[in-house]
Amino acid sequence: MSAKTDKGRLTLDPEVRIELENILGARNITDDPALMSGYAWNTGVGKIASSDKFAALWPIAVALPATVEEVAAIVKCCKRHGLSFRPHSTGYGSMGCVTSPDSICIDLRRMKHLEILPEDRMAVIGPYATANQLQAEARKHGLTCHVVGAGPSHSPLASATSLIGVGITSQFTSANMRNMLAWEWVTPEGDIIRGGSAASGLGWYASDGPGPGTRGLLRGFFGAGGGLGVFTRIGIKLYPINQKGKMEVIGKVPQLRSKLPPHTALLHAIFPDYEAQRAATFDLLQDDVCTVLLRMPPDHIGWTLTRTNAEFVQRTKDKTLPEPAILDNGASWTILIASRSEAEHRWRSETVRAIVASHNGRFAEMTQEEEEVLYHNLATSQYVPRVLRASGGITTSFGVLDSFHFLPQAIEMGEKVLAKDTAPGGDLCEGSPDEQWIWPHEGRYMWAENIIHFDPTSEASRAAGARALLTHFADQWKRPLGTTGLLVGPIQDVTGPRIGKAPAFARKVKSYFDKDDRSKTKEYVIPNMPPVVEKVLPAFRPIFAFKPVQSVMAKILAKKGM
Amino acid sequence: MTGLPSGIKADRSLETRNAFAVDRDTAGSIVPQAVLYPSRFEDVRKIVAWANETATPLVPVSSTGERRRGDTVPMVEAAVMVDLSGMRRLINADTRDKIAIIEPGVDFGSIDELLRPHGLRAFRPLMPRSGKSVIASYLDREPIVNADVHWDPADPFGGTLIVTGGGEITLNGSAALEGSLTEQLDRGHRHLVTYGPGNVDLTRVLQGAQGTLGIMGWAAIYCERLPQVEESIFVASSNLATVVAAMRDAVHQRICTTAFVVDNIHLAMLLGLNVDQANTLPAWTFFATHAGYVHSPEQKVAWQRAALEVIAKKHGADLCHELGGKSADDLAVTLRDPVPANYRDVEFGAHKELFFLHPLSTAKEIIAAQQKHLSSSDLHNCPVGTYIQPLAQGTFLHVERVMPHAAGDDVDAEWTSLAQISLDAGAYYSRPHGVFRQLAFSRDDGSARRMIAAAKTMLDPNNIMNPNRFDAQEAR
Amino acid sequence: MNANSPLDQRLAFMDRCTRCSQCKFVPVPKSREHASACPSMDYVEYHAGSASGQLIMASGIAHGEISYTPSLLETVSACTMCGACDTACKINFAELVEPLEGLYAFRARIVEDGQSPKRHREVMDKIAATGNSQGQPRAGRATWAAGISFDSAPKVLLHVGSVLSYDTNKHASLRLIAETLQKAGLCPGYLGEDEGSCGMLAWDLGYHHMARSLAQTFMAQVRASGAKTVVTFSSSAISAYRSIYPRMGLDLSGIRFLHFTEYLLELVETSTLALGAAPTYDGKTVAFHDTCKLGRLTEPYQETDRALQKEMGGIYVSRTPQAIHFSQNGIYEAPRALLRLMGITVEELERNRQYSYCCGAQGGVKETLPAAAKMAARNRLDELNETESSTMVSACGNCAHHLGKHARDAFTVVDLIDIVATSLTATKGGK
Repeated sequence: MSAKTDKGRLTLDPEVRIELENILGARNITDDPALMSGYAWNTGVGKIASSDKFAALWPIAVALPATVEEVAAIVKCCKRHGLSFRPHSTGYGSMGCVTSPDSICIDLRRMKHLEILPEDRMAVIGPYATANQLQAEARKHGLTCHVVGAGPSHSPLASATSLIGVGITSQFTSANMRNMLAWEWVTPEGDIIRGGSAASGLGWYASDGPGPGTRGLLRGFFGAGGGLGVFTRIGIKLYPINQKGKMEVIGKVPQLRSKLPPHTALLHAIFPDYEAQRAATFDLLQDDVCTVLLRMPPDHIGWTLTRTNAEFVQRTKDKTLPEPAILDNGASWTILIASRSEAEHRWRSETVRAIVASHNGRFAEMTQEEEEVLYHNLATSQYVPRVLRASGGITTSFGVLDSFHFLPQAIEMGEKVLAKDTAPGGDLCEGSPDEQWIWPHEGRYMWAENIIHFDPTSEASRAAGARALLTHFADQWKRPLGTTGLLVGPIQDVTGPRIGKAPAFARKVKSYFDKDDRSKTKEYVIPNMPPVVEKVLPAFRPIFAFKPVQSVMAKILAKKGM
Repeated sequence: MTGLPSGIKADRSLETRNAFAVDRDTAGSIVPQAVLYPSRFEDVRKIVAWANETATPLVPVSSTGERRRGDTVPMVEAAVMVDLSGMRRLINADTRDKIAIIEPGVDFGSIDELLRPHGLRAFRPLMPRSGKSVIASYLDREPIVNADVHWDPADPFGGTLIVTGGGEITLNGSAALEGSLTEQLDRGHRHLVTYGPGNVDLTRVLQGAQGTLGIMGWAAIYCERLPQVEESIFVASSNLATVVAAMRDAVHQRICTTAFVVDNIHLAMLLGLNVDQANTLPAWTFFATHAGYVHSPEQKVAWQRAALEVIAKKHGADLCHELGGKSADDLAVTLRDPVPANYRDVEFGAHKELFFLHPLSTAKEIIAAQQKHLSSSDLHNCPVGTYIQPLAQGTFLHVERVMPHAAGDDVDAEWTSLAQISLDAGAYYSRPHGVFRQLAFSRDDGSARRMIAAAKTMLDPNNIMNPNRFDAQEAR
Repeated sequence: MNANSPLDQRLAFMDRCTRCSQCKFVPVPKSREHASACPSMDYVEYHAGSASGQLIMASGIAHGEISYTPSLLETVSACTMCGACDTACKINFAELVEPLEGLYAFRARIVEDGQSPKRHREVMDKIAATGNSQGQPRAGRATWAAGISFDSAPKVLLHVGSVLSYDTNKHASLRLIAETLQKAGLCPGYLGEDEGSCGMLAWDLGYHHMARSLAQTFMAQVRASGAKTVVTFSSSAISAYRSIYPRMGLDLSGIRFLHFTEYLLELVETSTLALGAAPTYDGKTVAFHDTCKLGRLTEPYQETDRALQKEMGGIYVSRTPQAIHFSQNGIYEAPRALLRLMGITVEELERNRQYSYCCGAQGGVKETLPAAAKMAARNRLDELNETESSTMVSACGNCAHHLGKHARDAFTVVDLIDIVATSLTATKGGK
């Protein structure tokens, strides 16, 4: 397997090819560079790419398995031949890119299992049952699924097993690390392991046992990130909604709208400041008054309420954007109230209105059409991919998980990081001083992430994005706002005691199941780190937090990508 | 015998040690060598470090009173009990965030009193005895009756501190932050998140481990605000499918703070009636509570009640305020009233239990399979109660069969047979206890054993925590 | 890099693709079975089969990252150029990527680089030699009209298109309609054997110069005829007239282009023609298949400055936002209205109007990769399972023929022209 292409990339050994063809059929394995180019696209949500559109590392082949047995056989084949592999579901952004030159990409596109069990408010899904499909099927039964930030075309299985799992409706749809039920997994050694009730062949509903909740070894906050083999099937919890049947869409592309079902209201509350918003939030979280609470930065609401960037920019200049999209109105909640009866709706509406009024808040004026656009985007989570519309480049940071006590501080810290570069003349895209997306989970705690919006074609803008990202981490080290959810890969190791022993335990998990590091990723902890390095690394935090060092690192990242 | 760790209260009296050699339903024969009483998690860490150095098996125990199920009875010689029942502090409580931080010795008999000044109360399983440790109950994934806020089996845990079998202190969930707990609380952190941080979720791993992987030093637990208005009601029918359907709708609509189904025998036990009086009760009852906490509570409870009435009508169930001479509101109070005795033992002095998880959609079928077996077995004249608790907001059920019997009755064989029949009918024994401790793994395709071995290797590499509790679970 | 090359002009747009996969799905699918927007992705399975994958391959060619391979060309050949990806992408990205423009540019580049697949070249040879992609002799093009005399200085010029011209099963319907028009005193013109390819297929295959040449020829014929209205029976042609010709710098002024469904509806609404109950279908329910070319790809093209300018520190803004294609103003209503006027209830398929799923008949796929075209047709026909109908109606002869060929079980496919032709009569007061 030492042969290389003219690009210096490793090639697929003919012997391995024959084995893979025997497993999958010739049509389902390719090492054609053209077909593989889509698996080496260096862009996407969360990434600060280099100026090169293509990743430096390409897979040596892409495999399309259809069954868990085929996945296991591919993994075993990799092991036999000393190759690495990288699972890939929908591949949003470059999360599915390989991270070593000897990796086979396992594209799970053909594993589309989707079965709704309405009475048990759950579904059984494979890696390529996408959220839009799951939602469509669930809605037939008056249910919906949680749709994470990546939007309707993401894989809920990938989200539940491998990558974060929060989403804008988490107030009533929780998050996918909590929605995941029983699971099926191909270990990096190629063994098939099932968890919860599935291990006993008793269905996909129970996530844990018999005995310990061993799923916790594989899935914490962040997820396996491609570093622990391949997840092939899970049970996933669904959520009842106040409407049964297909989602009727009105309006013209791209401003799709949906009529609010009976006993449903979409309100946009604006508060005088963030302290008032915080106080109101604690009230709104009592008694489960609201179905969804979402704070989007005003400019992002503006992108949603305008057809094109051109319209957004023009209306920003003309100052004709609706109230929720005005930058001064950042202390706000978009509130969805979804009730099942008139009496319920009256209680919810009156309560929400009273709470907002008691904290000196008011409700934004919106046209019915604007209301329906926001509702549609909320119900489908189409909001989120639209955030990339302005420039095609975002990354995100903080991921604060804690009490809403920290809401004003989160805003303040977000502003501190972004205000200069998002102001006119700054290196990032112009926008709100902070770009925090905030919402509650399960009526309990706050999620806040600060979106860094940069122009991927500009090195200065990419550097500003990277600088902002690094500043987020450094600021959080100095003044914790709560758990930083978005500590991806090696940044966990640097963060060290801030997240307890989690990186060390993740490394134990990695060593136990994948001692040769065949399941390669940059989105897991650094494998096989000597204990002394593990211990010493966090000591370098002050150096990483030192502004000149950050500036140099940001410049390097802007050139090389991350 | 090796010396015990210094500075920690210990008891080596035979009387105390003998008390831990058995429990109510486990005839153990191994007497532990000592009982240690840590008072802070630092003590726990010291004990675990000592145990690793001296290869001493540890068996943690947090509850007081009459223990059951064998998970706190040593299965190896020379074990030392780690009795956490003295760690009874409420470390923090926050009304606004509806969360508290407690130590493992806080039990259901005391927790509500501790929380009351903060306007909170604990989520609890069905009539736990007063000496039951809250953390131990949650750690064993004992179902809480509050299906509405049981989003996931990790509930009601928030962030936690765990001392692993390997002696490492881990801060879990959003508790993983710099500084001491006091400093964290002073900054405003409330440890509201259970999962994570990073790539692992050790709280979840420890749940269901029955003391085999580590010891929880403290835990943030979600609590319920004290309601301003609370109303309960019975939704009754002669048909199981009817009440399960009504319960499903109510739980899916999130209109009940408490929701469970019982048959007439189990309801009689809850109401303090005898088995003969059970015949006067409906065959099946869904017990529902509505609560209004802060905002227009009467109005909230009123629409929730109206919604329940619609559901009951739709499924043909009857709403009753009173059954067996006791009102639903009285039962709601009883459910929160801590008593030392297990309610299942009150009439005859002993009971057998069998509990498992099952999909809601096929509850009727598995109960029918059990009833068929029971009616043709030697137990056909014995009262066997049924308690069905929706979990994960009604995604699946905890199904519990309880047979009260006289203390001397030998019903083990028949009860084991029921467990086997239930397994064949699809019972998933997620919490391996009692007669189904071994059965729980009999359908395992090898996955569970392998994962337990992995967890053991990572968290308890020297096999000091409650050894032999599970088959094939040792570290490798 | 050649700044004038269509591909290089689109490169920045292609490079903005975030690989979100939205282009693979209809926006807000109504079921799992019919969530796909992309027949080529369904066939290819690798990401390369999607619009995003093709844009990435195009970028790879432009950046010198990859070379042409047989797999690349086969993958590109599986794309029907139906534009569903474009509609889906714009839900998220509006002017930022515009996949269809990228696909047009990619195909042009493939031709420019001399890499056009053999079957595409064969199709083009046939068009050059005979004026149609099937290679049918010119002499046979007008046999359907034998005996009908057309006006030599008409106000309205009929364009039949290559598919119907040579499909003898359609000749009766064509004749009936032409005769009814004449009875109503409308006296259209017809180019007969001089009618050639509209150029749509040439455009789709990347032969933009050839397409322009064909368009020029046709426009010259239109001008020569004196007609101010062109009525076509071909969905490809109406798409070309409205969406492609305006890109070519041709003088289209003063000419009105209509699809026959629009034209007939207009005549019925002005009482020039009458539309009675359809003999076989009156009172029945049918499902309507929106042909891509007739629907989203008939959105009129507006002269535009395609470049984006950077505003507000990195927000990419169209200079001519009014010209961005959003799949609007396609011909969605006219065929439905005709069906309803004939007493037929129209049932919507899950993917309808601008979200319609391509049946595989277009873009040269039928000719190049019949298996891919068949799969698309079967996928589309399966959508009938979600309806009460067992009949699918299309207003495109190409789609109807292709779908009909692959229909199974109790499903049937009917060409709208066959229903309309027998129900159409000239009114007494016809002009």
